[in-house]
Amino acid sequence: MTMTKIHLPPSACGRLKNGSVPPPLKNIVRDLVIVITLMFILAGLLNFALGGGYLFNLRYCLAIGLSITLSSHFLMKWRNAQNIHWQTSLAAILIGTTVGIIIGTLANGINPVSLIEKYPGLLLALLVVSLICGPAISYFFHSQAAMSEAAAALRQEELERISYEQRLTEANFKILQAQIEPHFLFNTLSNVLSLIQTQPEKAGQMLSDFTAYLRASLQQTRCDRIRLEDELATVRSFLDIMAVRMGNRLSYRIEIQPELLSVQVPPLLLQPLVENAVEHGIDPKPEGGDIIIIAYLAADMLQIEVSDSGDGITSSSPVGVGMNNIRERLNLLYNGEASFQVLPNSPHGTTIRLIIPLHREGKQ
Amino acid sequence: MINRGEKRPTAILVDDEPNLCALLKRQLTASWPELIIAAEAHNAADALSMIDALQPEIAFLDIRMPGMSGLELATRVGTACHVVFVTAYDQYAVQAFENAAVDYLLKPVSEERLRTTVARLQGRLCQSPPDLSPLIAQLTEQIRPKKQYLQWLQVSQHNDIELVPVDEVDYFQASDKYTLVVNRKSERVIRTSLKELEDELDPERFWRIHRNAIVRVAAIARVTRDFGGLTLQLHNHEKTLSVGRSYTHLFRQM
Repeated sequence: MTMTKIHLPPSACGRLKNGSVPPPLKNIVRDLVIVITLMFILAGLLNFALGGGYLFNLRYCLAIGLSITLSSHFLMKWRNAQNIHWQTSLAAILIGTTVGIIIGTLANGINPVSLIEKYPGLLLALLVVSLICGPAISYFFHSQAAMSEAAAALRQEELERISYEQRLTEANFKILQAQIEPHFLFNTLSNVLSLIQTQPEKAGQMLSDFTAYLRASLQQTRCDRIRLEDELATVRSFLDIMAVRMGNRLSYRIEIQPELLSVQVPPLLLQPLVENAVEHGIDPKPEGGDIIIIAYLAADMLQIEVSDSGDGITSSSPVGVGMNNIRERLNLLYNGEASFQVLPNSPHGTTIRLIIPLHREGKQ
Repeated sequence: MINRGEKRPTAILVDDEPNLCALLKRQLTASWPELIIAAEAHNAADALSMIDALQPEIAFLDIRMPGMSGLELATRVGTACHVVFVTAYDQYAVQAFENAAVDYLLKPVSEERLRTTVARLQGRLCQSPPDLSPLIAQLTEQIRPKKQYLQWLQVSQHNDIELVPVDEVDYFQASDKYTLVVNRKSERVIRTSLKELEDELDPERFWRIHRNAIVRVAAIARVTRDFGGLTLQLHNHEKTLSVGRSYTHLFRQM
């Protein structure tokens, strides 16, 4: 079975690449090379300490060392584990020692059965050496594996953190970009210019709404959380500007329980939804319409709804950039605990419902 | 110099924002007193019938309007009058306008720029209005979305009807008479068949991988090959999907 990790671009339409060597085989070769090298050294040491000849010792060492290594790989594969576990190691040492002693004895031309009767000293020595060296070798591989595993986990964690931050920054940047959209800026300024001559007071009001809106957009994108009250103030500035621009085709209502004014929400979460409701809901209708924003508590979650009385969404209506952006930010900020629903209104229009975990002021 | 006997030119102003119509009207009155502003319209449909009825020589058209845009309106007007486009932000190639015999103004309109436009218009009034259709075709090409694919699914759950963007769906799976709509949070049911979905979904974003499944390409994490054929592992899903024999070409080595 081969495993291939693929990275698909969002619009991938080509074919997927396949390839790369599966890692377990590489590991087994590497481990065998290390074990064989160690066994050549160990055989020398044992020959020096206990005698019996280098080749005699080497046959035993290789037989036992390779048996332990192979049986631990076999057990890992059988248990479908990625790394060595102490129980696996223990079983591998016991099985490997037994099999290794039998093979080594045969290789040295001795009948294994006679080992118990004729050479109990040799058997004891073999067992003692195996049970000391086996765990030592096993520990060496174990710590190697644990080290590389820890390094991989650290790398993965770092990668995830970077990608999280990158996505969040990107989402925030897009929101800011949408806030200072040129059509909105220049049309609003043109309105102010028009009103200055005929209705200076109204022009002044519009300019101060515009200032509040711009200031909030620029400042709040730098905060992690703001008070719902502040977000609603930005929304009000926006709606007041649009009501003037659209020649009173737009009316709105905000209903919120007073105790919810101070809850903490991510900045510019509501505003793009309201903008969407005006642009795609109300503006296309010559007679205009209403926007209703309500916020309430349900099952300990903060629920916010933005409804419009527009023509509603059809199956092929484009999914607004703003909507995707908010979905993405909610997923990143609340780790899947928040939800975003689009509901058709009866008889017409759309409601967007946000359900997000409640954050009171001063609490995280 | 205007002859006393000569007919004064007429114009119509079209902008969905009433204040902006009013501003342009005042600015035009100041820089071209002879011009008669015959009417103001706040949407393209009204504008069309007014142009038909009043037959003005000039139309000032806002480009971005809800419903029919100023560009579409200009195509409908054809060569009935001279057109000046008015826009808050030039998202189109300015050169395109400059090459054609058509003027455009950026909002807020400066007095000086308006005087240039007025002078140009006065020079062109004796000629018949140019045909703008090639220019507009070129401009609308830039902004018109290509084929319209399915973007939203209407899914009912309990008593609620919810609209779900197709990009939120990881895969669709046929199940008896219904189709399961699955993402990492939920598994819902719709009545649309896989065949209908396959026809309506964007083929670059969604692949049919089996007689009974369509997968969102970006949701695929890995492709695993084993004796039985190809198996897909998805991001955030434990369940795997197998690729039907006749669909393996999608994943073939390059």
